[in-house]
Amino acid sequence: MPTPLGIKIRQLRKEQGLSLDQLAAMAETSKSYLWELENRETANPTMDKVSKIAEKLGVTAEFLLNDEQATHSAEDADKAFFRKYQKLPAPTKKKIQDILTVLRENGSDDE
Amino acid sequence: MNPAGPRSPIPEANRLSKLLNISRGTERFPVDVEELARGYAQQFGHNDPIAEVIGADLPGFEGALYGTNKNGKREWALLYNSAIGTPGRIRFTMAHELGHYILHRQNGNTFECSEADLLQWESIEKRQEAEADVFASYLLMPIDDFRRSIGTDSVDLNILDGCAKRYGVSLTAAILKWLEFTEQRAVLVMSTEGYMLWARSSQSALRSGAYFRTRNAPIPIPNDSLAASDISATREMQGSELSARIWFPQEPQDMSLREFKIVSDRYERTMSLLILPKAEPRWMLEPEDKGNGLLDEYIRTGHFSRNK
Repeated sequence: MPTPLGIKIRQLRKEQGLSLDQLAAMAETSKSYLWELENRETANPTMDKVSKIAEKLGVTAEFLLNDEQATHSAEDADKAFFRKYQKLPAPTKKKIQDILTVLRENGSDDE
Repeated sequence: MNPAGPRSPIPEANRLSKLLNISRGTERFPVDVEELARGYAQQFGHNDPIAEVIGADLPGFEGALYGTNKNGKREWALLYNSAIGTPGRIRFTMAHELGHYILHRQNGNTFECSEADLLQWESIEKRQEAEADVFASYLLMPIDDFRRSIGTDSVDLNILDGCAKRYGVSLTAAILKWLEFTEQRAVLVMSTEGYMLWARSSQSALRSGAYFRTRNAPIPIPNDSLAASDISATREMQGSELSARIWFPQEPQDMSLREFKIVSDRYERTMSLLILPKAEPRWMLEPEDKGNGLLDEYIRTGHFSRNK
């Protein structure tokens, strides 16, 4: 599963109609490095590269690196054999809590 | 608490498969995981059943198993995201959670971890996730039945797609299962935007050096491959014959392979299935290879069934 940083870079790049080649050239980095940032679970971003990519995408490096602003992650849908935990969005957590509350109603020794 | 030792995923899945063979006979696929989950505790004499199986629209969520302690009685709820992907994926998720119930519920449902043992905790969790996946794949796609279903020695996407439908799983899950037992040299490559995300080889492909180390530096998709071409047919069922060297430079010059391409619009994934002939060129095959030994081999590998 990609990092929040990778998801954001890819999303912004797609929105702006840029190919991997194009953004890599603009940010003076290699295509494969950019691909790694976008797709790898553990990318090793260096600050000056991220700053350059952010600049070309018209956002701040802080926006790219801040996990809190992560957009909903598109999980690798079909690779069923190595699924990872994923951070749940707050509304989903709430919904699960609500379901469990109903299930546990009348529960005598819960909590 | 529980006198039984640690449970391993494959024997546990096989135990359920035997039960289904007896109770359902030939009409047992795809596996009805929900029914199995609800009936499991009673079948095997446990007093903490999965009392609820609930699907809901839960963005970002796949599935989980929760202890509910209702009316002082230990019960479990299997929750899954019913709005995600395909029925095959949902079935796999439910089987995965059933795996946690059978394999791991004795370990409790909370892990209290300090910063010091966080690393260890992560590795336990990783192992449990992997075990639940193995359980799910064996439960949904028993290898003996899969071998019988393949039924011929020239496997193509149509046949594997038929198996995916039979077991109610994704094509990817079916191909990964097939790679576990096939005698053929075959490699599955998942890529996006020109580089490999991951790849998996069958045993014989691995032995002959036909594999990719996708954890190292990104490996680009070869230029002359079907995967790199503009052909964007969602499913190249027939595949294309091309020189094996395009994908595997160490293969002999006269070696060819069949490449199948499946493009998924979601997340721009391209799946490539590469099927290679045996490692030796044809002219090196000894005449006795074509004798009775081969028939035995076919029966052993499930290409032919003795019953048919």
